[in-house]
Amino acid sequence: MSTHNEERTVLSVLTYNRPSVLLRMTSLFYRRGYNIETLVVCETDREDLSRFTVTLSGDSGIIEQIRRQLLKLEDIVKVDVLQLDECAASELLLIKVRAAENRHDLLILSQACGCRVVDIGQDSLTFELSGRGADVRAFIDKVRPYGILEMGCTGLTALQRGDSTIFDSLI
Amino acid sequence: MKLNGSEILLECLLEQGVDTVFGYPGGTVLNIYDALYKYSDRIQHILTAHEQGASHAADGYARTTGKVGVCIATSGPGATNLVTGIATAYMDSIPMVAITGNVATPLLGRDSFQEIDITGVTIPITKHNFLVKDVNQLADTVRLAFEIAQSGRPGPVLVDIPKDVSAALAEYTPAPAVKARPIAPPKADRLERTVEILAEAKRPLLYIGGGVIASGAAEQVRALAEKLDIPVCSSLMGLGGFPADHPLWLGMVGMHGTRAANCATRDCDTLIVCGARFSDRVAGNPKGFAAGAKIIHMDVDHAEFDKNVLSTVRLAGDLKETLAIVTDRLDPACHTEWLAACAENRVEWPAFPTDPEAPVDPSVILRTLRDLTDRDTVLVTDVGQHQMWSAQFYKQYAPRHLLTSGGLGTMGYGMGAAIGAQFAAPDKKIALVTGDGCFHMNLNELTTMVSYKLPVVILLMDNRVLGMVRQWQKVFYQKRFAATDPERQTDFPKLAEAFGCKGLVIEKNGDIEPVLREALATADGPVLVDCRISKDANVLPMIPPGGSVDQMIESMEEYENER
Repeated sequence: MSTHNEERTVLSVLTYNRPSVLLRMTSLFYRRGYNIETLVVCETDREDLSRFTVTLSGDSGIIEQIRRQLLKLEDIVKVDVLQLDECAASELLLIKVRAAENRHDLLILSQACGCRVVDIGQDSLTFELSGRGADVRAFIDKVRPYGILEMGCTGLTALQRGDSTIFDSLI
Repeated sequence: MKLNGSEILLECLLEQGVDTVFGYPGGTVLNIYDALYKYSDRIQHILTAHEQGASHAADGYARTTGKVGVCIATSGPGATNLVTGIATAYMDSIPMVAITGNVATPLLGRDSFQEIDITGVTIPITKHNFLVKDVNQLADTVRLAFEIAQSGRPGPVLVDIPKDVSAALAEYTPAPAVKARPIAPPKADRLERTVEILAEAKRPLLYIGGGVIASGAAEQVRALAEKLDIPVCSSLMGLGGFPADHPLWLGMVGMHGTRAANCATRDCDTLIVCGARFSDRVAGNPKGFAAGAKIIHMDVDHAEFDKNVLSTVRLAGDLKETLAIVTDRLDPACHTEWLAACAENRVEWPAFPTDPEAPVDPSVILRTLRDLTDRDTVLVTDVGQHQMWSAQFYKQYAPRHLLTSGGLGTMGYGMGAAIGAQFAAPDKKIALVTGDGCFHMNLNELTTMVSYKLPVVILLMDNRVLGMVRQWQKVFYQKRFAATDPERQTDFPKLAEAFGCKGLVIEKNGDIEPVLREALATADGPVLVDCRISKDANVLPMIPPGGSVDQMIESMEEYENER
C-alpha cells in the first residue's frame, strides 16, 4: 500500500537470544519482499535478550505491515518504530586509504572530520569514524581522491532519545 | 518417573488429548515407533503410503475436529515429504504439530545419511519450529508446540527430534493440556466506531472467511446478519460458516463466486469482513474491491489489516467475542430495498436434464450427491475445476463439513485429507471429489483407505485433461493447450480394483443417481466412481485475474464470440 510518505525508518527489535532468530527475521524480510538497508545485531544487558536494529525505507503503511509481521514471530519480544531524527544513532567505518605521498593532508582531513587513526602502514593509513550515515559517507567522498584501498562499515545502531527505553512496558 | 525421549513425546501427546497420529516410520524415528508399539492401546498410528499423505491426513483430521492434527515422519526425505502438507496447513491456518526424526546430535551438520535441516526448510511455512537437542527440554517444547499451533490464528508447528534425544532418559512430570493463549478483547473506541458505522449503513454486506470456522463464530455471524438484516457472502474457506439455505445467503465471492455475491461487494456501502483476508482469488483487483464502501475488518491476526485492502476500522480480537459485542449493541434493522437489489442478481440453477442418455454434467453429479447425502456428510476436494464445482453446487450448511486446500491450492490434497476426516469422524459419510489430474498425484493413498476399510466415496471428475489449467489456456492463451491434454490411458475402475477398492462408472446422465446410491451404500471400504465428463466443461462464472465483477465471464460462447 503506497499511500503514505516514504521515509527512512529504524526498527529496534528486541528478541530472545536464540540461534535461529536472525534466520527467521531475514526469511520474513525476504519472502515478503521488504528491503533492509542495514541490520545490526547485539546482545543487551539482559542475558536472554538481543537487540536487532534494522533500517529500511518504505512508506508508513509498509513499515506498519513489517512491524505486525515481525510481532507474529515467536522469538520477537518487542518492535519499536523510530524515526531517524528522533534517536541517537551511529554507525562505524573503518577505511584504509593510500597514503604514500599525501600522508600529511590526510591526517589533517581526518582530524577535521573527527576520525581516529587506527593503523599506520608503509603506504597507507587506516581511519575509524563513527557517526551518522551522512557524516560517514561525506568522509568517504573526501578521501576517495587519495585512493581507497578497502573499507568496512557496520550498519546503524540506534537508541531512542530521552529517558524511555525499549524495555519500557515489558513484563 | 524416568522415561526415554520417545515415551516423553507420547506422554505429552496424551496430555493434549491426542489419540490418533498419522505417519510413516524410518531410521531416525525407530525409537518413537518402538514407543508407539508400547502405547498402541492409547494412541492409534495410521500408516499412510507416503509422508505427504500423512501430513494431509493430519490436516483433514484437524479441519474436521478443530483439534490439533499430528503427523510423524523420519528425517531427510521423510521430513521433506511433509513439506507440502505443512505449507497447505499454514496457508489455511490449520492447527498441526509435525514431528520429525533427525540424525543423532553428533551427526548433525555433517551431511549424514538422511539428514536434512528441516527446521531451516520449514521456517517460512510454520508458525514456529523447534530442533530439540536436549531431552530435558523435550516435554516443554512439545507442549509449547501445541500451545502455538492452536493460539490466535492457528497453524502448523514442527518439532525435530534427533535420534539420540528420542532415546535418552529424562525425568517426566505430567502436566495438564495446554490452553490457547488468551486473545486481547477488541478496543472500546473501535467497537464504538463499528457500531456507529453499522447503524448508519444502508447497504451493508458481510464477507466471511476461514476465521469464522477457526473461531467457531458461525452462530455469531448468523445472529448479526439476522438482527441487522445483512446479506452474507463467503470466501472458499468460509463456506459452511453461514447456512447456504438461508435467505440472506448470497454465495461464494470472488473469481468463481456467484453474480449476486460479487455484485453485492461492488454495490455495498459497508463491508464487514470477518476472518477473511481479501486474497487475490476474492479481490482480484484490490483497488476496485468494495470501492467506496466503509470497511470494517475483524480478525485475530493484526498483520491481515491493510495488507491487501485498506480498512476503515480494524477490530483485532476473537471473532466470536467481537461479533457478539457488536450484535448486542445494535438495534435490529431492515434493509428490504438492498436485499431486493441483491436478490435481482441471483441466478437460478437450470433444471436437471431428463434425458438419461445426455452427457454427464458435473454440476448435476454434485447437486444429486447433495440431495442423496445428509447434512453431516463431510465433503473433501482436491484442487481445480472439480473443487470450484464442489464449492458452487454442493451446498454447505455448517462449519467443518468442507475440506479444501484454499490458500495453497494443493493438487493431491484430497486423498490424505479424506483419510484424516474419516478417522476424525468415523460415523460420518466422507465424500472426496477429485479430478483425474489430482488423483494421479496421490492415488497411492487408495491403499491406505483399503487397509483401514475406510468407506470413503471418491468421485473422480474424469475429463482426461488438466481441466482448470486448460480452461485458462482456453480463455487467456488462445487455446494453446500446452501439457494439459496428456492422453493418459488409466482405467480407473480397474486401477481401483487392483488396490482392492470397488470401482464404478458414471458415463451418462441416467447413471448419476443409481451409481451414486450404490457408492454411498458401500460400507466396507472405499469406492471409486469414475465420472466421465466432457473435457470442455468450464467453471463459470469467472472473473479474470486482476479483474472485477464487471468483467465477469458467464458464458464461454458469448466470451469467445466477443473476441
